[in-house]
Amino acid sequence: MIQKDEFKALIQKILDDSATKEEKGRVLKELNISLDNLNSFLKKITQAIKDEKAILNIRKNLN
Amino acid sequence: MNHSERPLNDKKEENKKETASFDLAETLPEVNIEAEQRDFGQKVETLKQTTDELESELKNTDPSLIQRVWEKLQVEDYLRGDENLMSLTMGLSGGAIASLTEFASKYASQAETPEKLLVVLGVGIGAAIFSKSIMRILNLLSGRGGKK
Repeated sequence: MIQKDEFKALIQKILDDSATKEEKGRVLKELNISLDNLNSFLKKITQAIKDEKAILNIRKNLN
Repeated sequence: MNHSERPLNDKKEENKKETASFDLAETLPEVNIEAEQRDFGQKVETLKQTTDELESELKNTDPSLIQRVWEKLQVEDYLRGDENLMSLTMGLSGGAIASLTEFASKYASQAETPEKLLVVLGVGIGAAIFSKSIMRILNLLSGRGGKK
């Protein structure tokens, strides 16, 4: 995985219009990986909330 | 020499040729920016759906339940981690993302307001993705704003 400082430097190069095609591709690839990570994490939160609600409902029904 | 040896040698020669052309390809990597961009677009769409689902799940949810999930999943650590988009976008100079990240960090340390944290997660991240800074970079990447 690309390091944060390297990523920053690459972004700066893109903004300065001095990045090569390969560097642009690396940044895009990194953004795609980040989006995947983020999506998985948000799904995990959604599922965890659903699970907590289900547990609460079971407890309520037992009482 | 039996009949089976010759085809084997021929195959070895073929493999050598294949290896040579593969090595050459490795020294000259081709980055398919268009494919990466398509991939990015699809992932953003998926993220929008996930965010919508999370938001609808959060409606009418007890804050104490959100708090438990927050702690269980160590969301704060994730927001501060090096491997996520929020962290990576901190490297951008765009005011919108910097403010958003600051906002996220601020609320990430205030566990007593978990619903605000989830607004950061659910809506804020979506906003970051569509922010001007990201769009500017994407335009540059696609060649619309750059020379290469």
